[in-house]
Amino acid sequence: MLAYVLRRLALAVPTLLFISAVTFFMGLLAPGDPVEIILGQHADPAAKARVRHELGLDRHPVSQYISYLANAVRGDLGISYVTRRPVTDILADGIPNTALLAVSAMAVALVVGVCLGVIAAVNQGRWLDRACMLAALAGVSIPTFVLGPLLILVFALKLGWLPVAGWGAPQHVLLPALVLAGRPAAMIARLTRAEMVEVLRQDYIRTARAKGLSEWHTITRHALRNALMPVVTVAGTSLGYLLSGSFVVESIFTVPGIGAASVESIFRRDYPVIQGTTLVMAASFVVVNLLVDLLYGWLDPRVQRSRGLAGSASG
Amino acid sequence: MGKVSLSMRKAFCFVVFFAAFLAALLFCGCGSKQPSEQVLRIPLLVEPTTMDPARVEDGPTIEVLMHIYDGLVRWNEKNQIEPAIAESWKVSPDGRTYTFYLRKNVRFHTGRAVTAHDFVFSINRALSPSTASTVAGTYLNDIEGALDVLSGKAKSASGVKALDDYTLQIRIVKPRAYFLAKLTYPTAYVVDRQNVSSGPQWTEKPVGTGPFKLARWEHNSIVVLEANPDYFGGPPRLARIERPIVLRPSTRHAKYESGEVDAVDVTMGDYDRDVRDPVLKSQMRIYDRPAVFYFALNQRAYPPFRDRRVRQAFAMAIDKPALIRLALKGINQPANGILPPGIPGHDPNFKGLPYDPARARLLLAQAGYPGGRGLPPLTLTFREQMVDLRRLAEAAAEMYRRNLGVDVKLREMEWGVFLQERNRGTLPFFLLRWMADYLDPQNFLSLMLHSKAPENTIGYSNPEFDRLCDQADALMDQKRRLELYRRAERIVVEDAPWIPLFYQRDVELWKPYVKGDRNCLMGHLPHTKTYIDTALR
Repeated sequence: MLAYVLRRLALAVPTLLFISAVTFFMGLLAPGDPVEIILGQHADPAAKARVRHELGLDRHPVSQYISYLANAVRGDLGISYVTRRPVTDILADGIPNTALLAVSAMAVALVVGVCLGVIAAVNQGRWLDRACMLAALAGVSIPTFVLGPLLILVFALKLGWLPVAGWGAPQHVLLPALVLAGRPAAMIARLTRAEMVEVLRQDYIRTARAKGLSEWHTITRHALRNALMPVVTVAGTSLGYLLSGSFVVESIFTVPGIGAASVESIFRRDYPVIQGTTLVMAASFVVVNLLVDLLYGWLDPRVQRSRGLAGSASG
Repeated sequence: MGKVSLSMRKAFCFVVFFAAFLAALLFCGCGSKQPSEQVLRIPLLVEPTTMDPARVEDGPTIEVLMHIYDGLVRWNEKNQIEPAIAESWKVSPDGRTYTFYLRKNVRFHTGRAVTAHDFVFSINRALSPSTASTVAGTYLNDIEGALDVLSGKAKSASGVKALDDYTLQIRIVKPRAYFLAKLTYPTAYVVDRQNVSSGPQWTEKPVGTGPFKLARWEHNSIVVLEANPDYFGGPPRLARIERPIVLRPSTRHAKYESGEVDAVDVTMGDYDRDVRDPVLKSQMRIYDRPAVFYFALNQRAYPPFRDRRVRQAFAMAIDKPALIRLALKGINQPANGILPPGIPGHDPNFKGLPYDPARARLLLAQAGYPGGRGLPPLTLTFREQMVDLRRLAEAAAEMYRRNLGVDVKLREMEWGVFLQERNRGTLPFFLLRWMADYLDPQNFLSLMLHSKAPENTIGYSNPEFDRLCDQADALMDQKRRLELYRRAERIVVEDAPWIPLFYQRDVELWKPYVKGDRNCLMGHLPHTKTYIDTALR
């Protein structure tokens, strides 16, 4: 197991290196001179040259990249050109908010998705099944930039139950979490339904029913656990997306996460922040994927065994 | 199986708990929108770029900083310069030496008294290359020795001196009637030496002299200012100003409708609905701003524009009122000249080049391009993701096709690339806005269109225009100056290197319970007199 984790972590290194290189060199190629962003276009040429030297921008791009990596390993991702704040501070401000939103959204998605999926499977072919799957279809189809304003209109403007946007109070999390949960909830619902329909046809379910167990017990104790295995994968992958910060949802609901920081930095051509946020997003994908794989093995020992075998074969 | 049943029971409990949590959140959300105190809530359009007045250059951040800091002078509601920390000032007969007499009751938020030495420090700091201010070179460059500090050749500007604790003298290189106007910009605000020397993160806890102090700055979320009871102009009536940072116009508008904020900007997308709503319409305010939108005709990048007749033809083929009606819902005022209303020297009776398609066709034919034949392909560039500008460009292209027979292509460009290409002088024909840095005609005519001005990247040159600008820039007699600028404006409008289209107007919604707020052409003034009429809230 440890060897597997180490192997996966080792594989993550080239992935992150590749992403950091792409974002770094794209930043160099993008229009706009960083020195002019800092000093203005009409600044004194001597002052421009001095700042260029201080930032190391007069060095070869590869040398700049190596310095960037060396600093990044030490936890120094540079200074924002615009705000002069360390990029790590900007990320440290945004990550907890994005994480809170992502975890809340995933909780909503799991509860709603699994419930809808089970209800649909148990009522297969009936109107309740169709209604649940229609809701799931809507969840997948409606983009967040439509769902967000729609929920604001209903819950904030018409009903007045929730604030339109903001951050800092518990009720601020609800609407963005609901919007963000729409897509993963729909995917989980459809997958849960499909798996449940399959499991409910199995002999051991028939046996459980023949033994006189109530339908509730049969579904919750016998069917659901087996049906939930693939859901873990979908939920994990979705969490990766959610953790990487939703640009749209964070901007609609003014969530001060890394998505918002990223949008601001793109508009302001603040390349160190763009590079930092991209790196964090990529890292969150890699880490979550690894965790999902480990969780999957923990839930299904067969997977763990196969990894062990693969490990022995290769090692 | 026992394990499974336990985990399923836990899962069930979790679902129940989760539902209860959602219900609790909903309950929490109800009825918590209206603060009971004197709190003004206005959304900020972007995250503030900095709390360092020496470096600030964007409007939303300036609006925050003008509450925290003060300078020697400031704008008032009559668009005139009034004393701020300087109680009075004297200008020498040659117009080059300004002596400011400071108020003795001005204190930083820490309680320390402000002296002339603080201004000497602040101005030199703003000019210092280590501050890396993008704006000090524009606003403080007239000061004697400023360029030496900017280029790192000197540590302090020879023209700035503290004659005693409360007397400051500033010498400028040439007489400049607009010099005081430049000092209204934040780069000339006074900062606390101890504060700015406390480390690179001092901007997280800035110390100024202004009517409000920075109480909280949660990045990308909210800025909260609290009243400074010791403000030299008297304590503000508001206890607090909350500035939630809301990037999306639709979210800002929804927050206004739900009562979460007290004022909001209105975009063209919301305007139609708002004017149809009697309540919102009654809360609508329209403000003139000192900005002109124009087409620039670049003689360097498009040789036919070197011919004055071609430029005039392009100017006379545009029906500005129709353009404004079609693209801007008729809100804006057509621009016949360069200087917007409110800028000294603006002439409301000046008609500019008239809309005359027949004459425009004739001029184009006389220049050798009858019916537009023989003209190289022409592209009009404008900023991307600006719906109003796209509509405006489309309407203008249609006018050129119909009135001149010229097929103008349209090109939206990312803002940073657009500015870069414009500065390089590669765009032949573009749509842009110029907004005043200070209320003076020099800021439009000399700064933008003088043949030696760095901002003139379109190759326009007229020696007579240059001569009038040079003369007016150096005059102290305001009446004579404005007369010269008026003559210069007439020349440049006739020459048509720019086709002025319309002057900017901002539409905003303000709740009726917000009273006492002040405004000038440059924007909203600090909320020193604003209060909330709690009976109306």
